Amino acid sequence: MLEVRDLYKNYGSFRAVRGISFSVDAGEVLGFLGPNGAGKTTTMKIVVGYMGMSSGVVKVDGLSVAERSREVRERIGYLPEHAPLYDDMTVIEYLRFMARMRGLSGPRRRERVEHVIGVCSLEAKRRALVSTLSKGYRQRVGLAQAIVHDPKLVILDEPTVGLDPNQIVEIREVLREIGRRNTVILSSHILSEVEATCRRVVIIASGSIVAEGTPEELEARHRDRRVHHLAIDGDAGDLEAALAAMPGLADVSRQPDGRFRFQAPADGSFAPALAGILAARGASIRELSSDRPTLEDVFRDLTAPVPVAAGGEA
Amino acid sequence: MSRVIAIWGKELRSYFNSPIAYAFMILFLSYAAAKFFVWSSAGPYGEQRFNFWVRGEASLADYFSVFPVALAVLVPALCMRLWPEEYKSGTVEVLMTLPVRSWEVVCGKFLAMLSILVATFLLSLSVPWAVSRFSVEELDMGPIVGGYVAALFMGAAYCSVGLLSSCFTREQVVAFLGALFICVPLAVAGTPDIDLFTPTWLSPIAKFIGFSVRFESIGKGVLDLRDLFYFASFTALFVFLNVTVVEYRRLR
Repeated sequence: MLEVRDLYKNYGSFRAVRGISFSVDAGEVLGFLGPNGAGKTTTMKIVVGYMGMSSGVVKVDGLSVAERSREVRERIGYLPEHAPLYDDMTVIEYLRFMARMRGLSGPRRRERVEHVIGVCSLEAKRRALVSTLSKGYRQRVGLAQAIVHDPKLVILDEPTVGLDPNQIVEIREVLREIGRRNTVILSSHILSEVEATCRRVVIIASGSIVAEGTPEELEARHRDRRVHHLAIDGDAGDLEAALAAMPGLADVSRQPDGRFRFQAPADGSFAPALAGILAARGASIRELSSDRPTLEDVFRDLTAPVPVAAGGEA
Repeated sequence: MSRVIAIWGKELRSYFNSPIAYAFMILFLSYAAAKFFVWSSAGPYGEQRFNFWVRGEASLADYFSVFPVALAVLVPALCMRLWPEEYKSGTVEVLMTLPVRSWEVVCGKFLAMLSILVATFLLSLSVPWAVSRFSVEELDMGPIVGGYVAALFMGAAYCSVGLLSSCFTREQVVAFLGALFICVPLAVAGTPDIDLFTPTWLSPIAKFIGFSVRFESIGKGVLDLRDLFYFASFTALFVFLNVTVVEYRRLR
């Protein structure tokens, strides 16, 4: 359904996207994950034909975005970040307008508009001015316009950003409903989001893909490493630096409560060396615990600002 | 074509859902009517310009003479939100990723502006009606029809400038000033008052491009096709430039 190969995008001398390749099969729901500024939005804008690429190939349904942009745009439903809508129209006016612009007419248009009003639970707000809607409703109107023409590919940029927890749960239900019928790509920097709605995840950092797979696969890949919490008795001194220098330990940080947090092998093979370091400083372990790895840890591990090996699994 | 109509309808709706269209109409109509019915003043050569009641002629030439400058100021205000609003709210991103061609978007917006002008001119028909009612002479319809045809062509030219100016900026005020900067000189270039201060080498050019000069000659009932052709090609050029800019932005 979607094929992206060796995609590059430069803004002047800044390389926002550096050789991304991935593909999405029909019916799939793909989560596009990465910290802010990783190149998610840029990639999506290129796929929907809003922005040109510096080099590479993007094909939607076998059609090149660069050469047959209009046909590609017919097959796509797109919701940009923050759901931009026309504020001075009512919900129903807006959806009718968008349906028309997407080439629907007559009874088919009426039927589709009614359908998306149902799917996105907009019944109560159909005559409300868009400018009077809450953020959650705005997002739903945005989703409704993205699927009103039953597109082959739905692209949603941060569909839950800025919503409160209740609204997020509601939008998630709508997303699941959409995912049942259409091929979907949605971007997020919130992991629980992606875990809840996507069957496959692409993680992107500084313009490159750093991991790809199902949420379970990604977690499994990191199962041999866990996040540990360490509390000590005695003076810590420069312990943080000493820990960071230890082989096998990564992502060391000192928590506000004075405990240390770090990633380390799950088998505890680092423990004797740790005890040695503490003993040398006249301190001792009060508590050492470890968490099951979550997608959160995988994400942090892969997209941390320290240089990571890039582009491997793509 | 159905997409042009959809955009046309959307723009008109948002103009009439906001006070902008009404403000434009009220300002234009009341200013033009006041100038015609109330104002009497001294001209630059010391001659008196009298209002309709003092002169008592059944002629609308003085009414139409207000149009070039009034439209040059008000049309930029009408057009200034066309693109900046799309840029600021981000709706341009949705709009340009619809299966719509650039010219369809530009023409839809342009036609919406033209429709508001037509509506305004229809309302302004109340003035010829009043003149025919209050003057003893028979009203000559020729110059009135000519005046409205000319006003429509000239208004379209102003709209095309306003539309193009608005597509370069996210700020409505900048769009307004940009359009004003082009429209007002165009409106007054070549008129007798301004010609006094125009260098001799520039004078023929000013008379060629000036809107008022052409507008008034049509308004006198001299329907010269060259004048209409000038306005039409001017409009086409600016609309085409707008389409080009929009199309160019797509590729970046």
